[in-house]
Amino acid sequence: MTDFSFNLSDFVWVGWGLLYEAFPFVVVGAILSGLLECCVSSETVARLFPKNRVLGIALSACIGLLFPMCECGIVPIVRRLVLKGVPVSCAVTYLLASPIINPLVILSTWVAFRGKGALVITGLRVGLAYVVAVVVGLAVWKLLGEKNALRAELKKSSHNRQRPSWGLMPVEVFVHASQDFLVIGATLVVGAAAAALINSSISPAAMEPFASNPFAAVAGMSVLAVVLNLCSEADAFVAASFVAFPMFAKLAFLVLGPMVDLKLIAMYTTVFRPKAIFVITGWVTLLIFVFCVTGFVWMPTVPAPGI
Amino acid sequence: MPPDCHRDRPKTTAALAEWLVIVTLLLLAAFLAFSYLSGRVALYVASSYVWMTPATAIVLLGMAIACVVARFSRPVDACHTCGDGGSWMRRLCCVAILMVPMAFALAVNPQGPSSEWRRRRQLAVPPRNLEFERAVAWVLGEAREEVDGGDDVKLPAQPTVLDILTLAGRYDPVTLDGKFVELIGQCDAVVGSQNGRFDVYRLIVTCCVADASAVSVEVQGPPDEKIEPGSWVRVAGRLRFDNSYDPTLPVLHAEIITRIPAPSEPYLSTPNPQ
Repeated sequence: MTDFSFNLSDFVWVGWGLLYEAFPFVVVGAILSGLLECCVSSETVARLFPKNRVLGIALSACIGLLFPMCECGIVPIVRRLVLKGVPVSCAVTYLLASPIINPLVILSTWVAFRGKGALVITGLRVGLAYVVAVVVGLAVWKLLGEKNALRAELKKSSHNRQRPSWGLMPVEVFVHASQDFLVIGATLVVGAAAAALINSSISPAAMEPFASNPFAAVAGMSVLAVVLNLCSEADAFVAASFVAFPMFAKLAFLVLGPMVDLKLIAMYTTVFRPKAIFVITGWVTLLIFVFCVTGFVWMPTVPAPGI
Repeated sequence: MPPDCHRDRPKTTAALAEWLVIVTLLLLAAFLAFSYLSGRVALYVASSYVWMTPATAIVLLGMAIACVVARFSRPVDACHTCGDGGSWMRRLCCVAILMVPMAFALAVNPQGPSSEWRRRRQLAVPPRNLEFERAVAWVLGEAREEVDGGDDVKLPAQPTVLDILTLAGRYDPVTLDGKFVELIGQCDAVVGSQNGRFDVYRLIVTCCVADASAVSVEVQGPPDEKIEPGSWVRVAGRLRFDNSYDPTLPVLHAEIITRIPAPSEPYLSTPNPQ
């Protein structure tokens, strides 16, 4: 058995597995985006959003608890929110946190690690995701600059459209949804192809020799999270199966994967400029790496079996 | 054109792009519907996700219809190019990209993973030190039933490969030795093995095949047994613990091997076999 080999049939099989799973969520996200466009005005968004930016960023990370959405479906929604005037920093925070800080993922994480420190790792996953999302949101606001993050066509709004009549509302919602789906669906295909190429070709066990070294273990699991492109509901079960890796390496896998993977990076190009994507993904990766390595070094055998 | 429209494109080009988008949505909806009706979706995602594909097809059909309605109901001087899909060239690129995976799926049409992929995804079973476990149990004064399940470990009515491995990992092999079981799974050859030894495996899928893991039980069949990798079989026989590499792992000594069609739900959904 080799650690790397390419097979076209496996590539198509894994690729279409990713697409069959992700297309429904992108469609749901596109429909919600269409509803936002037709039913929610920019003035309403401005009225509802906190004026205090720090508070807005802190709350944005928790929106997933009320409106759960996986990482594929959230991109068209964030795209539309930004067009409606939501600050980019808050949108970034929501984008990063929502795939993890939502009831479904919290429950699946707890179930996956039941009997092996479920409470600890679930709490750490949610806590680390919150901290990383808020810190990156603040960094986008203060360091990167919100104007520098967005794609050019999202900065200038299209010519004013009147709100459609109630009779034509469903048509307009679906038309807007189709436009979002077209763009984001295409980037999803590109990302899924890259993901399937690596997912079908590598052996996850190739990382096991690095399990004992804190830097290599965390880095190895981070790389796996980016290249395997798993849904945030399923990754906990896959992480739990890596018995050779310590908890903080698995934590890196659990937090980094839903925020940054090949599929998501491709989809982020529909919202952010390439430089902003590079900076955001870099900050996310660095924060998670530093926290997890520190945790590994200080607490290499974090317990709680049976909880 | 509206006075504040900043785009200036020929109407025919924009109209062509719009129709291409509509056709793409219809083709994608048709492909997803065909995938569901032909049963191929069940090969790619967990059973709880299968229903999403026809629902997506319906929504995509709705999008296509809405685009057609909007196309003909729009005022004559309305902008046909402004939209969140971007320029017509960008839309054409997106259309082309969306067509490619459908072409691949029809051309290659995989029915399952290769043996190499399956072996790479094999879940590692943690090794057991039975003597150490028995010594610890003796020191702690645990009753025999708590260690090896007593004289009568009850197997599930229709055990899966995962059930057998879980029980073998929990109880002393002596308790399970000789038990008659019937397993369903896919065949694969055991690398380096001869004389009728092969694996019966199942894939555990939580969302889609990208997160799949494989669990397998070795089977000792007749020496002249010909297996077709990936084919589905029902194997009935007795469990023995005579694996030369790890005597704590069960081997199913087959008495009856029957080829069966693939089940409607080919994957196990129980996560975390540890």
